[in-house]
Amino acid sequence: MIKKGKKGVSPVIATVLLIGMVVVLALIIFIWMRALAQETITKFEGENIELSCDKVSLDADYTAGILTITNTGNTPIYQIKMKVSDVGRHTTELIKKSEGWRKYGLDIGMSFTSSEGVIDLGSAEEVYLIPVLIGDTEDGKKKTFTCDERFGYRVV
Amino acid sequence: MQKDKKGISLMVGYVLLITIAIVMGAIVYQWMRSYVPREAVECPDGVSVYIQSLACNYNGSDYILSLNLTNNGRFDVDGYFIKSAKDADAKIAGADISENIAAGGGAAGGVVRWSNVLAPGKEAEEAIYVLSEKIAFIEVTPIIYETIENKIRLVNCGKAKVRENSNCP
Repeated sequence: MIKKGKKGVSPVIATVLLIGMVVVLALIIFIWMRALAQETITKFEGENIELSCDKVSLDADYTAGILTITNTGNTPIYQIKMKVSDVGRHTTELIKKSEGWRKYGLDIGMSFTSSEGVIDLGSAEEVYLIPVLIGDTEDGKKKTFTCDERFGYRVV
Repeated sequence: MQKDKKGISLMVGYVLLITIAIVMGAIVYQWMRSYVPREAVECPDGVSVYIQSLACNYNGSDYILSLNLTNNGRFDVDGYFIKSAKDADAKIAGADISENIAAGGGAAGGVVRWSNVLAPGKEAEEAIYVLSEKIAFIEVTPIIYETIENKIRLVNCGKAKVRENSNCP
């Protein structure tokens, strides 16, 4: 009940103000969280690139000093990171253009073959090939994404 | 309800709750929509080819490879990838020899295609490849074209890959 002489905001205005404050607060939280969250990279019409890693399929072989990698799936592979594990240490590096890697990577069905002796994996205990994909960011730029190691292919 | 106890009226409470729920839903949707998986590009299980015959001859300067492919699957095959390996111990073939085709198809972008699709049960025209080096074996992977989301896309049928030794002299 409204008492005479007591001043206050009318219920309608109070409701509008409350709703307005909630919406503004939600927008502020949303914008703040977007800045904290990792930038979304998408591939294949808006699908998160992390899902594309699961679709990558490749076959590889290291024989007589020659590394051969074939893209047997339907997802283009932009680059390959080689995780080479030896006793007590491991190194991870991209296959370089100087080692024969093409600028646009491995398209569907394509193969990479290194020249003999250029890539030396002879002493390694374990070698994993980890695909690196390229996708689109929210502002339309291209950005690479390294798939998780569980999507890697063991060649040695 | 007790007199003199203060609180938000029920109507305002409902409006606030619904508004908060809608706003939170919009935030979560915007964040999660990229994680909705799209239709996967996959080769149907019934796509299959086999190498009916493979002959390798040396004419003094080049190795001539004669390849006969047959579609033993349930779907039309639109073309194939063909790769070779020089080392018989290699587990996979990595050298693309599609551009070495001299007859029996045309190559573009690593894919060999015929003038018409290869229907199930049909044998393709004999393909002749001219190679400068001796090879140990070849691998042939069929491909098909599928319309996905109104776009024609090449589909690699990696699981249907076939291998054959060349027995080059």
